[in-house]
Amino acid sequence: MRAHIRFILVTLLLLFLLLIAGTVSAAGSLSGRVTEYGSGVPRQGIELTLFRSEDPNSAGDDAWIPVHSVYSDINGEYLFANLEPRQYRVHIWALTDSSGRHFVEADLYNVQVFDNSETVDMDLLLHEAGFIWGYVRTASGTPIPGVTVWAHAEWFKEGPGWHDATTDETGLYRIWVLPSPGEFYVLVTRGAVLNIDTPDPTIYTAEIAPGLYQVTIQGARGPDFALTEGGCISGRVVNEQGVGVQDVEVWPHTGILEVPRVRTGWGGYYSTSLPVTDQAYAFIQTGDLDPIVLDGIKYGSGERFVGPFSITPGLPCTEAPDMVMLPSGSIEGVVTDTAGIPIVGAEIEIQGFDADGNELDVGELPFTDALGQYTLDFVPPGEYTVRALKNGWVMTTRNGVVVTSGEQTDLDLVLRRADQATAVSGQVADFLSNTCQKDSNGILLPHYLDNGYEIGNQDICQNGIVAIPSDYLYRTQEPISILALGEIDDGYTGYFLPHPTEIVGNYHLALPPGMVDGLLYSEYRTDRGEYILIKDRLQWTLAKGETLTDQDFQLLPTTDTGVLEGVINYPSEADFNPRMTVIIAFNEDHPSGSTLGDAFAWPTFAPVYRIGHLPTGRYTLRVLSQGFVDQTYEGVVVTSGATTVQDITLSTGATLSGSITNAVTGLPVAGARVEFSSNSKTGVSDTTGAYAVSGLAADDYNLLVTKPGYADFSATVSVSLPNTSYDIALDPQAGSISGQVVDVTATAINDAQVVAYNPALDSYKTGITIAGHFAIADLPAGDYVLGIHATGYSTVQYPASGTLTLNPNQTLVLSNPIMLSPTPPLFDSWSTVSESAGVKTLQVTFTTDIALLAAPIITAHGHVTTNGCNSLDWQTITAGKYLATCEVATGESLVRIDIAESSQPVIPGYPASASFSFEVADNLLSTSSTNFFNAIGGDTSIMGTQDNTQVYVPPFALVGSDTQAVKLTVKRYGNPDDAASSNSDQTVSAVYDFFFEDDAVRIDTNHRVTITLQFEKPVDMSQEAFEADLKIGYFRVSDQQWVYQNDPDSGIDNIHINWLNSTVTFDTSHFTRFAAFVPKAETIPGDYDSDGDVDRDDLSILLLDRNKTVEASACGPACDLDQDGLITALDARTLVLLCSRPRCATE
Amino acid sequence: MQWITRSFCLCGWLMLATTGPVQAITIDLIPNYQELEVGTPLTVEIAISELTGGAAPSLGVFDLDLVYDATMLSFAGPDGVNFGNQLDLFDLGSVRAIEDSTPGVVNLFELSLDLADDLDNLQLADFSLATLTFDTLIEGMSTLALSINALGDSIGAPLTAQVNGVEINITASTQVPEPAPVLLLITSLAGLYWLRRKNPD
Repeated sequence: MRAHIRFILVTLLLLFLLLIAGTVSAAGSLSGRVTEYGSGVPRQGIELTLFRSEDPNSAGDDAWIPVHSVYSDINGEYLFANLEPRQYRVHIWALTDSSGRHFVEADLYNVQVFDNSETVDMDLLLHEAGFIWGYVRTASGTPIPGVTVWAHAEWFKEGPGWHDATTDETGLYRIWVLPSPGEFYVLVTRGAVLNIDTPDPTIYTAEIAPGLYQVTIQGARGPDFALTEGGCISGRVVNEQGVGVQDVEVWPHTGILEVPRVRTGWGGYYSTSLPVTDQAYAFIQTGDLDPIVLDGIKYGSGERFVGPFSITPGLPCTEAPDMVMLPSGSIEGVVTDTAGIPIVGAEIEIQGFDADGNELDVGELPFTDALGQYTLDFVPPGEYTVRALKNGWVMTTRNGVVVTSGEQTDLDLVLRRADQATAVSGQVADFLSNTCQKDSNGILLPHYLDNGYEIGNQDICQNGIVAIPSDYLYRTQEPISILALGEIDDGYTGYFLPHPTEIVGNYHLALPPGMVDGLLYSEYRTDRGEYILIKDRLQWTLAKGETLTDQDFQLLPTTDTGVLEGVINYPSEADFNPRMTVIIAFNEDHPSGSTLGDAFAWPTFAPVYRIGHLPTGRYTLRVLSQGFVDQTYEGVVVTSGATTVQDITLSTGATLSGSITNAVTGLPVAGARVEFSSNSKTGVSDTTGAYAVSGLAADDYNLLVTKPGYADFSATVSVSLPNTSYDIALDPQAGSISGQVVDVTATAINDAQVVAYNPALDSYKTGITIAGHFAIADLPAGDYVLGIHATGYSTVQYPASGTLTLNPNQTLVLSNPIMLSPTPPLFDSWSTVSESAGVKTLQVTFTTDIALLAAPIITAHGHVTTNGCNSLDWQTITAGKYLATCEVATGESLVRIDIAESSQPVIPGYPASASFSFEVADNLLSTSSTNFFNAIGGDTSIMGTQDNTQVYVPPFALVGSDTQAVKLTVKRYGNPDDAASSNSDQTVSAVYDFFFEDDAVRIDTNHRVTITLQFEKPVDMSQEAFEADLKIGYFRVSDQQWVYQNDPDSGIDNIHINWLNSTVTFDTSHFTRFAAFVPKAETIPGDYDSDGDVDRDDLSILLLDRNKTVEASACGPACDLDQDGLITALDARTLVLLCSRPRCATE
Repeated sequence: MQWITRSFCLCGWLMLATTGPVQAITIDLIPNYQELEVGTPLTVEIAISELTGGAAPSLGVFDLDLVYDATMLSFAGPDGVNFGNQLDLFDLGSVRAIEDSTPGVVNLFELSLDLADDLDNLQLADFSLATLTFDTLIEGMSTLALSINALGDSIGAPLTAQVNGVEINITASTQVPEPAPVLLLITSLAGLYWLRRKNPD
């Protein structure tokens, strides 16, 4: 009996171990080293925490979920094992070691782990922390212990913005932060002290210490705080029923001083201390940033506030009115291309104002998932602009998206490929010397710096480029409808060190065809609101596919300026609607229609405005305010060095309201837009069909009402004070399209997604087939293209060319079924399982629709000896998943495995087939140093390579020169059908990973390698088509951006296509730009021998080229540290200062 | 970084240009004799002066070419060169090089490995960079000049200096030959040895 039990237990144990082994074999791992920055000393016992991305395809910085932690070993090495394939983040928290040294936190983002492979060399560097110190005392000099002091660094990539420390018994505070590298980077700190953590019962006022503190490891002297007595504020956050809402973050404000936030406790109560002021506010700001759920109801009231209040010293606290939270709405939809194919990893942006006129500030923006879907949750009721963005695609914008409380708004978005649009690039001339973001010493500040405060009297601002349609008159309509925003590269990377090859001031815009105004502007923020100055303007007429370069803007310094400011008088104090009031100053000294010298201003915390740096001259002020009559002030003169005061008085005016209904059914029409030909006011009907437009002067107006699917409605309406009622009936002009979807045997296909896309409206609706039939109703009249997608079938566009025309009220029935062809089998993975006597055994797994591949024929070919597999077998693993085992001699360089239907295909005439090829010499996966992503081809969705993405490995091979050989394995993702397209309008959507193998990277001292790839020229593809679509770039981890060769940041140039032997050659340089994934040798300036440190050996290399020009030197630009074109003794002395050890000692 | 350095350099230059007379760093060539006979060794000290001393700027590296008339002088070789000690404050070693492959030119290079703060705080204002020895070949006037390839401060920023060369007058030999110093020494030692053998106590 006991023997039986033992037998059963052993059997169960074996089964369990087998199960685990099976699990392990399918998992990947992640490893690397932890070393000290500078010295390269490995660090033992460092805790590393692994986070996984929420979405396996993509993730933003705020979408990481902790997995588990490990500690580095004696060699500084760490390993995370048994990981599912997806993207991860490796994090080291800020720490103090046993010797008392402090280190700041470190991160690696978007580390990809693959099946059955180890992602290696994911090394982290520990940066020793510097600190800021000072004292907190009373006004009489008594130290105050237990006070929390904050340092604020607006620094997003390398660490959190807020750092804090608590004062000791002597009042001393010491805040640990990342030190400035060299003397270049200047850390900006902002301190505020409060009583909330003090044992002293006295309430002390908050203080701010504006200033720039350059932080070193030895410490930087910060400000001393002399506290005086302050006051406090208390209040409550409730829902519409008056029930207190707990855990809401409340932001107290006193003018521009931002003090730390508090959360509401039980009953929705909050209380916090504030300095003595008569300008205190309390804010709540919800949305994705701070989702609140109470009793199953989601709340998102957007930004709302109460105030201003006067804060008096001591107790009792000033009582603030209750702030009411409303249930939020949401926006959901799908992002597709113009053929209706979902786009993975597109970023969704939302911007606008809630129903109370407060700006929405969504902290975390979603990306579309593997099906192209997105959800914007916790959106306050209001009207918004929603955008979808993705590299390689033109941003699409949808204005006037209405969200109602507790309701879901459906919004599908369509992106056009960038190659179907235009590209404009250029430079902002003299950007470096003219940019407004400088510190008090005139040193340019990094673009990470926030612009939300002032330092002394100097405004901190930022420059940008905005593109708007040329026919869009912001003078009479909304201030700006943004089509595209361009960032101006300020030359900072990594730890804010400008790379010597960068051209500072570059910009790049992807724009749709048409006439576009490009405006260069400077944006400022002060304690009297925000304002924008238009600095330069270019006009472009862009044809499809056109690329304009050298479109340079001039950012000229304005020397003769004045200030324009004033008070905005609302009918009552309660009417103040910050952000919904805009003041436009038109410079009348410029030619009519020119935007040069114009300015926009918005009030923020108080009904005042201010525009500084305004060129002298005569201006016309136009004031647009939601709910109030537009105002115009002419002849406002701004003089040099003076402040012109122009107060503004707003009046309520008349309101036009009524209902909008369907003229046929009488049902209410939601989302109809109401506008006027001679006024900036607009309105949108709600779900009951009601609309209201207020702030109209009593007058006759030409009214225009539009809604897709309905005929435009226009009429002249006489509006009189105080209210005018006017009901509108819209004539429906919606039609429908219906048809059938079948396979090649004429069998109906269920659950096929059918997309009806209207290119003119840039909108679409979707339908699903039931028993093969679909019907899409409520379509506005116009031209349509259908996109049909079903699992297991290739996506089809219908009609293949041209469009379907749908007339008003037409029911369009397609006479012929739309036929879908099956997709080929999908490659899954492969591995080398054994090697014996010169024979390797390879295993390949692939998946397919079992119905289409009941009895596959698998054959193999070799590429050098053409023998291929000398023994081939295959078996079914699970339904639809197969394993092929192939024995191959190592003399083969590549083996191709072909999979096809049997001689009796399931579907006659349509055999499914695929070919997979493998490099025999090395194991592609296990020897790879992953996460060095490059892309070739137009599709940049590297994140979408899992699950539903086809993987295909063509017979690519690397050809390298002897001196600059890089052993490189190329793995291609994407649909092979795309690459074979002969349509010159279609991008080759193949994406490649380049894996540098261990110790095989040979980068010369100029940091430049030449890589040559052989490629299969797609069938029937013209040279021009391929060249037009060629893009080579890399994924920049620091800001989650794909960077291409037309961006000088990419470090890739000199692309050459040789059509005779089908090779692509390109040069890459400054690999240091590859952030966390850079080979160690490349991360240390001055490490010329790439041994991980800077020492006498490196000095010797430099001195061999002493007194030579860079061109004549062997070392190249890397040794020309002062970049004067010569390698001199001065460079040698500079290198001594970079040495890893004292006196440049070698290890 | 470079543009900042340049900005600071430019600012510094502007300040120098607009604030009137200031201290100028000087490098002098100082011979042991201004006039000497053929056959008498010539030693030349290269001395720097007017550095701040105890504060920046200090000297962190120099790369100089000493130019001489090879028909009248013969460089005695690297063994005849003595570097100063102010770029190696703690006698822990610096990087030095002497190169004389071009007739009439001796290149001298010294790179300090000391910390910038140490150089700034501890280095003297005036000191010797190096001393070189030449053999005099024929009579006549010979000019020695100095060319600066690079002169850098403690952080590798360039320094400018005024250089003062020197003229040497080499005359024909007129004195009665004396025993060479070594021969005299040997003779003395031999006499001493003889005396000690004679009087062992």
